[in-house]
Amino acid sequence: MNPIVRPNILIICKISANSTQLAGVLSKHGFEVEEADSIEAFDSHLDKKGRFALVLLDLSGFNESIWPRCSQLSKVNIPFLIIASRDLLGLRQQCSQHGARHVFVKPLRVAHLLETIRIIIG
Amino acid sequence: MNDSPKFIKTGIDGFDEILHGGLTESRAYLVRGGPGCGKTTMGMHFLTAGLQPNQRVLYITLQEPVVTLRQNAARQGFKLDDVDFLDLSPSSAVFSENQGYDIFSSSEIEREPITSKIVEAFLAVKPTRVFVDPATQFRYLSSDLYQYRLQVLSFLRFMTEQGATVLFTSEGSQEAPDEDLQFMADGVIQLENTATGRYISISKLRGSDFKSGRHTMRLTSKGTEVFVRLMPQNIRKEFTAEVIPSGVPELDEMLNGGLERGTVTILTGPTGVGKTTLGYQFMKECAGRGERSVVYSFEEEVEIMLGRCDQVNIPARAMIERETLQVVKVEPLEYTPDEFAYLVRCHVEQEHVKLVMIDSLAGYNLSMRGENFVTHLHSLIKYLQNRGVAVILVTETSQVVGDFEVTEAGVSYLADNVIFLRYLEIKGELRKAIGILKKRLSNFEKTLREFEITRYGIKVGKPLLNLRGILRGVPEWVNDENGK
Repeated sequence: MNPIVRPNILIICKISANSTQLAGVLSKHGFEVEEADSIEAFDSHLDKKGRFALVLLDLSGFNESIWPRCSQLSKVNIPFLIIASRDLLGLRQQCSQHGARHVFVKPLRVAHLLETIRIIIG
Repeated sequence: MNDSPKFIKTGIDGFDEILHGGLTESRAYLVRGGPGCGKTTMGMHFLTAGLQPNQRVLYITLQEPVVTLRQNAARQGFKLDDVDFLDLSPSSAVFSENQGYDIFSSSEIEREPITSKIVEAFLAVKPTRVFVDPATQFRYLSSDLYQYRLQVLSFLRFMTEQGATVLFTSEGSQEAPDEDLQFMADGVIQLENTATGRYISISKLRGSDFKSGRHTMRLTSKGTEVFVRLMPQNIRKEFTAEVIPSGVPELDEMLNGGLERGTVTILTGPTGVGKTTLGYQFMKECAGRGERSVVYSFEEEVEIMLGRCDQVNIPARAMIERETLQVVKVEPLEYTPDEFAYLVRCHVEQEHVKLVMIDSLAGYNLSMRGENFVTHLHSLIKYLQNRGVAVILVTETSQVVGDFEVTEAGVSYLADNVIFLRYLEIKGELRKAIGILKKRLSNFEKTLREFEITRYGIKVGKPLLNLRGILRGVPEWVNDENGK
């Protein structure tokens, strides 16, 4: 009997309480989760191409240097979802330009998040 | 099967009286009021009153940690050792370990674990009483108003359907109104803390009557005390219409025997004329028959008053020793009207007092903390009348001589009897006179008599028939038939 393969999701989030909550919800719903709380940690995960089915990125606390990483994710076909604090048109456009599949605005609805992830991962 | 509701005690006697016995079992009641109004203390009374053999009670705290609650309870003399707690208050780690989050709304994250904890605790304890403090916290665990109402309603129903009586609190404010909670509750108890005092009132009580209006509440080192507003129509006692004589034959002649039980007498006159001493004279006679009297002295110190009685042959000290007299010094602003009425009620109902003297109305007015004192006095007087207690109200007029006025307090309508004392100037000498202005239940002497307080007691002279202008204070002699 084959072991059940749980999709792996990388959470990139500087605010530890947010990361913990996000990880808790995703784990509870059957996902394997890894967490990164800095650009450096993000970079080290990016080097391990193909390990993640999805990346969830909370923009809070990151600067412009996040965008080249987003472009890189897009280039290697790792889908990513962005979480923003505010719903700004310019930000949505920027996210879209760098390949984000969807932009969530805080606070997230758990059901909406899970549904979006399932649609993307399949 | 007996379907009549069972009432349970709240642990606060006065509050149970307002509720006509207590709260209806297996119902949910909202206690609302601002910070420091006494909601938590009321909850502690409620829970500790429910600590009976084989019965458990549950305190669900969503704000204050249990340690703090226990400390505060101990200071007020509550023993919470047997109370079960469910602590849902935030721990300090939320701040110190940066546990605050904003990625999900708290309703998404907290509601489920909190609900599970409540259900788990409730089923484990199986309490007969539950106190939830404050229930308004649930608002933040619901995504919208509809969900909030649904959650709270089902939460209350979950507990009451299993036989628990629930008290839950709210700090309703303009920013966060709690009308929804009021609709959901079977009863709404309002607590207020104002500049004039603390008050408790009930604005809703499904299926049960209650005493309406604002009642005084006091938070003491022993918890909450409630002083029920007097509603004299509800308190009536049959009594015989006896007469209380003064023991001064001439005065009793003027009064057609004395003052009747259940009547109100205003003793009026200028300062120092002898009003209080005259009041004590009636009490001396009561004491002689073994009956009890109480004086509420709002102005004069007890010792000074007793010293004066010693000098005019009124054995007040002996009367106190024999428990036929009680002199209570009431400090200004010490009591609210409800508290003072409660004090009087205790004396009348527990010590069977027959004669009450309030000395004076001006002092009583000052003590009433800005309330409409005539309304409160009216209730108190009517209560005493209904109980068959004779009441003497001492009131001072500002005019030593001159134009006559019964009382400046606007309460003469309350009086069945009005006895007035006046200063007179006769041949350059200051003398005193006594007269009866009104007596509802019998005839009375219309003439005035000379009044004197001596070391042998009160002396009342013959009718002053040959003087006119007595009420103006400067009388003149009139000639008799013989021209004398």
